[in-house]
Amino acid sequence: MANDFTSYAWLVPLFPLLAFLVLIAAGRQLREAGAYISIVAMLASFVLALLIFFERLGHTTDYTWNQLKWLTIGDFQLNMGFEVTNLNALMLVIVTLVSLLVNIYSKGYMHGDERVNVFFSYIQLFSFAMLGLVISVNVLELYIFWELVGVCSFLLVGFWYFKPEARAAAKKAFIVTRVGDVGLFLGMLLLFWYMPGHSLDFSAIHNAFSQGKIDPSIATWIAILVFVGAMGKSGQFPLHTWLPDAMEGPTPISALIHAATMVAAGVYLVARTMDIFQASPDAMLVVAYVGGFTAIFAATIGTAQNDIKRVLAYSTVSQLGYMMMALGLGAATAGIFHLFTHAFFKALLFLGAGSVIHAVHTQDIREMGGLAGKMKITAWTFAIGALALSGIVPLSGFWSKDAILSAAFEHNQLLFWVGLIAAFFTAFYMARLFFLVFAGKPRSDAHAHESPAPFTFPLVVLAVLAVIAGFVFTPFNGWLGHWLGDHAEAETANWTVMILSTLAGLLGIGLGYVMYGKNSVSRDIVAGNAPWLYTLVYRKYYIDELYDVVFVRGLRLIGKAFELFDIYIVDGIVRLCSAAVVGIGRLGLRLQNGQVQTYGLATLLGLLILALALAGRRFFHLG
Amino acid sequence: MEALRLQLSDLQHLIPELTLIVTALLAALLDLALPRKVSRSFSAWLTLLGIVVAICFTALELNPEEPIQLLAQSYRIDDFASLLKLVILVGTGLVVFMSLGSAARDDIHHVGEYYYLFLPAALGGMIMASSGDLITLYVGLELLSITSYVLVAMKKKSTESNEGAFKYIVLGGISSAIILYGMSFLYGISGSTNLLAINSALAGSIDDVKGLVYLAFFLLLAGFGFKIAAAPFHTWAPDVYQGAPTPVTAFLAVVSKGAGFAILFRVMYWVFGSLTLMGTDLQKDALLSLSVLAAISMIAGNAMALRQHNVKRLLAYSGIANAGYLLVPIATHFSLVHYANYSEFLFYLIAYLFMNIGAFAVLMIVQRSSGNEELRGFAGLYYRARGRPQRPCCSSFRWPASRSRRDFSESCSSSWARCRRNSIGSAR
Repeated sequence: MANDFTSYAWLVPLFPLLAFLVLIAAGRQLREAGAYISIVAMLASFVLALLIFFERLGHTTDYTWNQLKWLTIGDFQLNMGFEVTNLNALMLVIVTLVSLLVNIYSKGYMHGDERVNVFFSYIQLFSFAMLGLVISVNVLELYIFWELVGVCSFLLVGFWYFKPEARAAAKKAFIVTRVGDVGLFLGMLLLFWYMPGHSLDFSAIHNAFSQGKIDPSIATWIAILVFVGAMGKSGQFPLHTWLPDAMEGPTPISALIHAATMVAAGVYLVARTMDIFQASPDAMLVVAYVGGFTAIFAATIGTAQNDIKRVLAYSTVSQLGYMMMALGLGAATAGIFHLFTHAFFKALLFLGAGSVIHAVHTQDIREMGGLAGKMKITAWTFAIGALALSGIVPLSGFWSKDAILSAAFEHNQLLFWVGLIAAFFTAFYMARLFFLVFAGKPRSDAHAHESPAPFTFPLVVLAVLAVIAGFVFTPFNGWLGHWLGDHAEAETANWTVMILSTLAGLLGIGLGYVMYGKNSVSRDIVAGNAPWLYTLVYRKYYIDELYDVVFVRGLRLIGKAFELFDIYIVDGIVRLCSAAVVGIGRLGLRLQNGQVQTYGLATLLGLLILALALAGRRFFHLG
Repeated sequence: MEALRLQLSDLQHLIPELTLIVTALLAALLDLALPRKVSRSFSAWLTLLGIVVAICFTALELNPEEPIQLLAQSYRIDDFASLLKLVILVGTGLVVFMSLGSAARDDIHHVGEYYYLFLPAALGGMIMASSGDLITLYVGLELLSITSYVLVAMKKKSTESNEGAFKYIVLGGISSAIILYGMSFLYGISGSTNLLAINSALAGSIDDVKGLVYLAFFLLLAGFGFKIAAAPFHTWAPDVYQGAPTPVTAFLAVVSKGAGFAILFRVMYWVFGSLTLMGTDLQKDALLSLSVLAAISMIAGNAMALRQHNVKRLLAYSGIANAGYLLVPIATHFSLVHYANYSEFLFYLIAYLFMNIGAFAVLMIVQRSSGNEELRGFAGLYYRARGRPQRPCCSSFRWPASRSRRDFSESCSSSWARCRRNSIGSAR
């Protein structure tokens, strides 16, 4: 089959890059046009990605082009290029589609912001980096884009840099993910060292690890280190703390970067290097348990948060945990499938939240209420997203969560129950969120009204996708698994799992409804009877405080010591130099008093001293 | 001893110099004969024409089959001389050019005189570059110096100009005396004024008269050091630079200094640092002295420039530091591994010429729009005169346009000054 469009896959990241360059060069002159340039560029990328996707539908062989010479060290040569696998093609569509919708949404949401074109240029740069990451041909290329994505995240979280919280959040996001990046970097070094021919290409990695050419203990190390990188980006415990804080960024950014695309990069990385993990059962176990723990851990925190975006952020962390758990259980398709569906309904939820925030100008859900009547489209689409996230039949979230839980049911009963309880909490906090925001009576006197078309159009599109996206991979239709080349996937419907997960979801929603919708059970039932439990969850298990004591203070102390060294020793030397120069100048200028006789005398004395010093040492045998 | 005679046929080698003399005489006579009401601007164009013709003739003399020697080696036309003459002529030409728009407005009352006095000054520099004899060398030096004294005093009504000229003439006199004193020792030792003859005499009898040779060397070093404004013989430079009309300052900084280096190079290369004296204490000490002089100039010049607010004084100190840099190729003597000294020297001199004349031209424009020579006049230059600093010479004719922008300059934030304040502040 032809590769007509696939061979042009490099164009997909190029469109946003061009838009970025145009916006950077002429941002101020463009004004309103900036948003349209961004949308058009993303549309071009999306169309091309879609064409590639359709072209790949019948394929299973990968398309690789790596003729760009990057480094030559001795015999070793590193080439850059791009690779299109079925997994890549799917990711391209997800990223370009969500990015396109977020661009449209941003045109409304960021309207009136002074630096709107800067905002769009950052988004374009991010899209370029993310798409480049997806089609990278080797680990180093991926790492370069990986870092670039991190920089964009930093820039966008700190976009409203005049808010101190936004600055702190941007810093935190950058530093915490950097901890993970160091792991990935070390993993890459180990990989480089032990791979035959020092090759870093994904195809070579696939061959080497699937044929067992690498020692299993080394494979464990590499896998764990790569996973540390994925943990940082995908907000897995214990590197999850940056993601909820990153909600200080503009809401479209939360939707695009911190829900749908960038945070999925960690999941994507693990899926892309699945062969390494499969060579090491220990590493797989680590991935599965970290994922499972993150899923339930973040879901419980989500039940006690009052900021609409933070609830969604913890939900994202929890769902990423599901994906990691699936990968760790060897169910790569299930993990990617959940990534695929999650991208749509989580982007939908964030954009819906943005629409609500835009209407009521607060993020505190205790101050909202009764918005369903005033914002019909937002409420309906948000409800669809919430139901999909809660795993209610037949929305997309149900199928993907079911795929994960089935895999867990077969391989690891403990993780299955963990996942099930997490699903219950998920449904509960989503119900709580929905009923507090949209049901009941208004708790503030803000005059909310429905947001304009640039808001609602992406919401509707995403809502449709959140409904139907699940049908590509159901127990009755295993097409996605075959296409992604994962033949081990079970296709038989596991009715036990389906019933249990539906029950968990309904139970969660039901509890949420009686507590927050009908108010028949007191909301303070937990806070009243076990205040310590409530506080523990509300304070996010004191993880931030723990890090502050263990890492931040110690590092700050070391930093202070170095600062003192810098101030007194390094600066001291610099000050000494400048003082010496100033002193010489002052001394020399003292001669310059305007008196001719002084000048003459200086000339004469200069001559004498020079002659005595240089010739005198010869005659008096001093030198 | 055979009487020295200058044959008529020898004059063909002196055409560039003769061109300058003829032009200067013509301009002087015209200036004298024409009635007062005739504008003297023709003088500038005549001067420029003379210089351009002289440049052409000098260029034709480049690359002779063998160096031409006139009057028993006392006047040499070799590539060393010709290239330096080109530098001197181009420098003078640019200075005259940049004076065009300014002389009449610069309180200079004798405009005609102002222009054609550049010609004998350049001639003096050319003679210095070509001389192979102490006498011609001194004649050239004095021709250049005396003309320069007059040029500095061209702003007759300005106290600063007069003060500068007075200091220049007194201190220049002292330096000339020192040079002559040094020369007299050399003549006494060798019985000749010819540089090559002196060199061979020194090579033969160095041990007998060591003290005298050293004395002669240091006296000459001090005298030439004064001419090139190398520390510690630089004291005249800031005051004179400040007082002189800006184009004349540029002339002093570039042409006068370049000519001073020409003789220093010639004397060092032929007499004290020559290959015949290779390895002797005298040669080592001579080169060491030059190195020390270079080091003092660089450090003191730059350090003192840091504390200046007046741009002309600042450029004077910069000139002192640059004299130090220019001394380096002379101080590091020819050897088997390093023999491009002259090329290095000339390369730096040419770069220095354009840098400096450009800087002074910019200063001239800024001086007009801001009304003073202080650094703060440069504040906000980027905003009020975009592109102007890049093409100083062309824009010197268009300066009146910038006068109307003076008000604007006042309101501009003085980023320059702030920058400076901060750096000084952190230095303390």
